[in-house]
Amino acid sequence: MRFIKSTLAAVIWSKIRIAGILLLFVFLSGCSRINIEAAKSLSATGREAALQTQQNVLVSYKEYLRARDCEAFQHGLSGNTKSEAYEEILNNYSEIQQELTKRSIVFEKLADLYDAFGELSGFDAGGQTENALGDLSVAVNEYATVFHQKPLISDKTTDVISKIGGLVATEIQKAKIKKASALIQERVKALVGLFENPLVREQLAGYRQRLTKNRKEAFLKLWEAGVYDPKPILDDFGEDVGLTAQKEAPGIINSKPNLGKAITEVLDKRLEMKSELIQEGYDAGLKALKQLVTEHKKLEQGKPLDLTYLRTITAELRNIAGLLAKTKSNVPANQ
Amino acid sequence: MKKKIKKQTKGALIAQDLKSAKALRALREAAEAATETLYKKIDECKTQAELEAMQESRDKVELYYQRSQKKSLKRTGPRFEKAVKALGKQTDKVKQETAELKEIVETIRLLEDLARLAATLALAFA
Repeated sequence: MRFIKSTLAAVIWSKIRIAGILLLFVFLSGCSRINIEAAKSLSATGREAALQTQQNVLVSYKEYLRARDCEAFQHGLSGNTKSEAYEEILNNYSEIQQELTKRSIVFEKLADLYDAFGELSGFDAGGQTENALGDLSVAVNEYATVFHQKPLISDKTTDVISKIGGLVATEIQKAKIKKASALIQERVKALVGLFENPLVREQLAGYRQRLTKNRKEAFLKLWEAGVYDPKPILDDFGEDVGLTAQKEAPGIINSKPNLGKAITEVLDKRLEMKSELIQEGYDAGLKALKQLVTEHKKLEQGKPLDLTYLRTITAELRNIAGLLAKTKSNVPANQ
Repeated sequence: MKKKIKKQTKGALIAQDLKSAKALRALREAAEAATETLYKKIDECKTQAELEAMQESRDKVELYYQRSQKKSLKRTGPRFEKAVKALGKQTDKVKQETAELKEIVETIRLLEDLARLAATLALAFA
């Protein structure tokens, strides 16, 4: 028992010494400037930015299916449904989609990395170490009372040990956050380089535009055939003054060719805008990635972060993704 | 010297990518134009043979574009695979950092358990 007692005392005092040395070392290494709360916020914002960029940069499954539908519509229209070329085109659609889906894993992995970073910065190392050291002192004193001896560690010493231990743990955590942030920064920078590449941009944004234009041509053909109700678009015109189109509106438009042409022009421009939005979404995704690099740099230097700007870009990404996926109101119906 | 060679290789790769991007874009625009023309002229066709011929011409251009897109995707595929691998590796590293941090608390808790066990043993053998 005497052996255990002396061992415990030795362990505790050696811990205090180590803690002191570590504390001094960590303070000198400058990790103290790292803001754990900021790291926590950055991990959440980084995750959101990664997922929103994924939505804006890659072709969704829905877009792919619609593009295939339009290809089928076109071949059905021309009566050319048995050719080898048609079959190859449809196969290519699926093969290209499969290749593009593989690229989306990059963003899932980036989101995972931010999750891991969130776990690291979300762990209350200081508080938990402080509590554990406090409990350890209580246990040691309880052990002493078994031998009818005075407590080995006074309340005051316990407080000091716990506080120092807590501080050391916090500083160790900060050092680890700094290290992790540098690793993430390096990866995000590499992704910026990858997505800035003109070929990658053309493969992703260019291909998405191609699919959108294909759909646009099919839609306009159907529109000209008069199968769509123009009411939503007419309601949009009347919205400023609180008016909605009357039931007879489609008939009126059909009877006046100039009006029909005018509405076609509006639809054409709206669909063109969708195509432009694809490039805007891609740019916003790149901007988000670049901003993440900037914020990681600031975090590592102990400077205050500007996550509001990053959140604004993320909101912009969400907005563009929403506009591109929209099926009603300010984009043509059934588009 | 190694750095210089690496820089030159990277530069050549970017130049090649730029060239491929321009070519791919030109093919995409050609496919877009061919599709647009098909829809515009489809009603003008008088026979099925005319319709099919028009569709075949458009499909030819579309296939050029699609084949090039597939080929170029294969070219950049390994870069994405590399990025995925590196991200996974970094995630493991960050997780390891968290595990190490949690170990500090766990070690102290172990010491606490040891003290309590010692007290229990002392009482048992007293």
